[in-house]
Amino acid sequence: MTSWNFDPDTFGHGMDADELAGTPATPQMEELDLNGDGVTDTVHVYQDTDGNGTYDTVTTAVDFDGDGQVDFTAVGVDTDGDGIVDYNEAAMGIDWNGDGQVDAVLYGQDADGDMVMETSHLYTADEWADFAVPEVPETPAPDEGDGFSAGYEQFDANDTNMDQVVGSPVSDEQYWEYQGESGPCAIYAQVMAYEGMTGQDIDPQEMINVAYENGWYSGSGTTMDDMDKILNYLGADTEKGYGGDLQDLEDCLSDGGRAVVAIDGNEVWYGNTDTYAPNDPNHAVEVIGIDYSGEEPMVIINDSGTVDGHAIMVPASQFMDAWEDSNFYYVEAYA
Amino acid sequence: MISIQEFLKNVNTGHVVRSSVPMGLGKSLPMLDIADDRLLVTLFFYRSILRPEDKTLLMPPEIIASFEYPGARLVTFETLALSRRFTGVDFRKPAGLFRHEAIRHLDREAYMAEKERYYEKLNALIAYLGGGEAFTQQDEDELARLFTMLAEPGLYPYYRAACPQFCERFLRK
Repeated sequence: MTSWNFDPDTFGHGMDADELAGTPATPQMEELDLNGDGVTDTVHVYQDTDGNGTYDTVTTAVDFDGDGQVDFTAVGVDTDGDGIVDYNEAAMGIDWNGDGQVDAVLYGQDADGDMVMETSHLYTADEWADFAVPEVPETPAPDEGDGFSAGYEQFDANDTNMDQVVGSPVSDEQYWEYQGESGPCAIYAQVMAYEGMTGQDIDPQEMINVAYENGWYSGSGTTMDDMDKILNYLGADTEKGYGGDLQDLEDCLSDGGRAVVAIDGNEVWYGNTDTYAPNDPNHAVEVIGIDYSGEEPMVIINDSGTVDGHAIMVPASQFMDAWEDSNFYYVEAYA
Repeated sequence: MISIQEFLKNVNTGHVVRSSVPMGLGKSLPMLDIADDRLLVTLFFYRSILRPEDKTLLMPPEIIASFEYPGARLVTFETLALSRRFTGVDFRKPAGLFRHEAIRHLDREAYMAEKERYYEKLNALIAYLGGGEAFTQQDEDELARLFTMLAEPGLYPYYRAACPQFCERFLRK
């Protein structure tokens, strides 16, 4: 793909970031004659897709052989608004038998903007064309529902022997907040953990913005790798890794730290209800205590993903089942 | 050779999911593909928003990924919202509801049992593709029955887009 020559420093062929910055939010087309034969063979279209007044997307169409048909298309996106392309994708039509018809499409993605296609896929022409957008059902939109209650009991200091309780569930419960029906569980878990350690009041929405600007939140969620970035941003020290166990959580809480763990959300969200979901996502929750007073230890968590998720008590065996699905991945945080 | 269940566990705890798949996205049913004599397992990752009374929202998939079997090396990774193939999709609108009609009679345990049967049939198909045991017409029909029943109708187009050859054979609607 020799024509794949977007320069991340100049954001496209002929216009640099300074020229583009602050230009009106209307598509701008640039026509080029790269082979110098006097005929336009390449077109760039610059777009401001988020309407913030700065171009963020450049689409390129190239006619290699001058037959008037586009042979190669590519899209470069500046996803974080810093003026540098950090996502690219390209598609090139292939005519195996020279009959002028596209037989296959070579499609590739460069997910980090380093100009190297990490992945590519060869589609037949039928496969490429064969995506019909399905009709969508009439349902309340995400974040317009009433949320889901897992039906757990909340921790109550009056119902237990506090000498058998590790952590600070009574005080940490007050920092719980409901995240809504999608997205930023890991950010809420980190904010709750930091507030519990410091008593400071942190606005989760502000941290979502920070995470988005730094690439730690995609608008869809946070990866496990980025599960401690907001804690670090706020000034907490963290350690993270696989292979945790209840003793690790207890040690962390006993040392004044807070723990954020990645669990199979559905195994906790189902709670004691009959509801279930088809897939098993990872989900971040804050562990705020462990109650050893009963026959089975109860892990006390602040779960921003359910409407009654404050200081809910999950039997240790169920918690460990849910945690196992991330290979016991967790973050320890200390203020 | 590891089972598909172990393989999926390795994917879920592996580098790709840890570094590139946002938490909150769950995996689709796995599908098999063969490319350049390599056996691939293709999945897509999507969000389900839990709601009671069979009104759980199934959002359009966000990522399609293929992994080489059995080592779980990433082979392809496609972000649908940024892919021109899917420009007509409104990723903010649900693609379907769960539970769908074909599985409405299944409680949680029965659903998991059917999913396990699907995995076991995939294991049998993998063994057959590896030159081992036979995979009979009866096995093929049962795999198709399970896949067609368990896959959510609202997501059928995405299953087909992710792994067309597999769906041509095993998605029978």
